[in-house]
Formats: sequence, structure tokens, C-alpha cells
Amino acid sequence: MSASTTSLSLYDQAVNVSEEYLGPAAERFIRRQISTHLGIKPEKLNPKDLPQLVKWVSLAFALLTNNADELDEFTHSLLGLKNNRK
Amino acid sequence: MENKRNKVYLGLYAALIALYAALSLGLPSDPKTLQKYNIAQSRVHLVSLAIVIPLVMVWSAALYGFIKFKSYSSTVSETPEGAPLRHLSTGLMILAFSLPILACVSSLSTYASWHRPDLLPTLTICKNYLNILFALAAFLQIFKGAEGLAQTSKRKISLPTSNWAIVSVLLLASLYIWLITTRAYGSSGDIAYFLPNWLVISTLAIPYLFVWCKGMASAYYLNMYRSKIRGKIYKKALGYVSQGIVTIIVLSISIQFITTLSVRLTRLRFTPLLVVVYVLVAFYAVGYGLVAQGAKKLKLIEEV
Repeated sequence: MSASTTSLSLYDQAVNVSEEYLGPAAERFIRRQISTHLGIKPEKLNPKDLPQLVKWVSLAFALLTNNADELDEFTHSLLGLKNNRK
Repeated sequence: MENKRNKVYLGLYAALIALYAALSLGLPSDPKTLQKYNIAQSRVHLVSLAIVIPLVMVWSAALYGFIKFKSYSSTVSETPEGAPLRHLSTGLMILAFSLPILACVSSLSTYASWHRPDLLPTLTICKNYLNILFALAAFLQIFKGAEGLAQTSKRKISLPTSNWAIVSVLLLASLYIWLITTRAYGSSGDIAYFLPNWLVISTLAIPYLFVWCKGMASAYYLNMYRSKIRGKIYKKALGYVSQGIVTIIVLSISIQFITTLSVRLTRLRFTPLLVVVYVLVAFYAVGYGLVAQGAKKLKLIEEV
């Protein structure tokens, strides 16, 4: 993990991961999942919130794609952010 | 708010379709033509129905595609893509509504050609200028939207300025102006435009060439934006929209090209030309269908 990546907040990293799949809509998607389902400000996202976020994100993501590999890839990438912050 | 707006669009469109159906099925045909082909008026109306019904289905697909795209563009109105998408939506709306409006004018023009020959020049001139005004309005909006979308991309997108691109445009322009100015004249003078060549070139041909260049530039911007944007799922959904809009642009240009040269082309054979135009119009349903499908997927991304 590079220094430039660890200097980004967890929220920014989550957005970065999501952009690989949702492009310009990624930030809006992540903000919506965090504020609606976690009830916190998106910028306050911390590692202990990630499992809950991934659960809701995978539910929403499953509505957008039938590709199970893409879904797995996305959720693993998000969960991987938790390990990177330790 | 969205429902109210959709009801207005639906109401207006239904009124235009009803008007077109009434004109097509209500206006009598030229008695000389009926006599020439030994065909009854009722039979002609049956044949007209066979054309009206598929046309109405195509126009309905166009309206559906526009409404779905408008719905998506409203959802993202506050985002950087919001304004460009709004311009694209306006351009699609103008094109969708121009279909039944121009068809109504065409029906009236056909009726006038035998019932009131004195009105034919006026109606023809009005029809030609209405066509170019719709095309200008629609394509300028579509270009503004496509260019705006390209500017939101993090990777710079600019129009090709290669010699091949410039030469191709110049060749197309020269060919088109040659075809227009060397068109056949009818016994009553200029039956295509009822205008002198210099006015046809300056107020119709050049604006059409401008519109077509804007259309091709829009298609280029949309394709490049789609190729440079990140996001596998977003890109796939956007792909439907951009393919749909590019299809609509190409069809629109083709139909405009054929209809402005129709007098020249009908020297070959009348029936195939009309069939070609109707087939092209039918493909509008494909274009708008792709737009609707893409817009629904993009809107779902914003709502889940």
C-alpha cells in the first residue's frame, strides 16, 4: 500500500474502489449507502463500519449486475480496505 | 412533478398523433391519381392505415425513449453531468416531437399539391424551413450535451483535426451542394424548393451541412466519452445510451439527406425511395429503444 493511498480517508478509498464499477456515479452510490443504512456522515466512515457497509452495498450491487464475479470482486476490494487501515 | 410533466408530453404527443391520423385518413386523395390507378378512396385509406399504424408505433417508441432519458437526466440534474444530459434530453425531445409535426405538414402539403396548387410553393417552402429549423434546434442541443459530457471526463477529449477528416467533410459538402444545384426542374419550375439556387444554398444546404457536422461531432464526443469513462457497470449502461443517440443522429442525417434530394432521387424510382425512408424511420424505434434501456439502467444506479 502506497503512502498516497493511506493518506486518503476510508471513505475516499471506498469511492475509489467503487469507481472501477460505477464511474461518475460511484461517490453518490457510496454516500447513499453510508448515510441511508449506516446513519453516519460518509466522511466519518471507519474500519468497523465496513462489514455492515459491504453487506448493504452487495445487496444494492446485485440489483445492478448479474455478474457474480464482479460482485465478489467489488465486495472483497471493499473489505480489503479494512485490513489496509489496521 | 415528473408525472405531471410526463402527462403533458403524452397529451401533446397524443394530440399530434390524432391530428396526423385524421389528416392521413380524412383528407381525400387526388381524383386524377385514383382514376389513373383505378383505385377507390376507401382502398387508399386502408393502405394509409397500413402506414399510419407502424409510424405511430415508431413515434411512440421515440417518445418513450425521450421520457426515460429525461427521467434519468432529472435524477442527476445536480451533478456535473446534469447540464449536458439536460441538453441531450432537450435535443432528443425536439427530434421526437418533430416526427409527427413534420408528418402532419407533409400530409397537408400533399393534399395542397392537387387541391390548391396555388398554395403548394408556400407550403413547400414552409415545410423545408420547418425541417431545417427542427434539425438545427435538435442537433445544437445534442452537440452542446455531447461536448459538455466530454468535458466532464478526466481524460481530455477533442475533435479530430486530421487532414482526412477535413477533406471528408469538404467532399461531402461539395457533393451535396452539387446534387442540390443540379436537381431536376418540373414543368412548373423548381418543384423541390420553389426558391432560387442562391437562397437554397445559403438558407438550406449550408445549414444542413452545419447540422450534419454538429451531429457527427456529437457522435464522436459520445463514443469517446463512453470509451474513456471509468466504471464497468456504468459504462455498459451508458453504452446503450450513446449507441442509441448515435443511431438516432445517423438516421436523422440520412433521412434529411434523402428527403432534401428526393426530387433528384425519384428520377430513379419512386417506390424504393419511399420504402427506404420508412425503413430508416422505423430504425428510430431501435435508437430510442436503446436510449430508454440505457437510461433505465443508469437511473437504477442512482436509486439503489
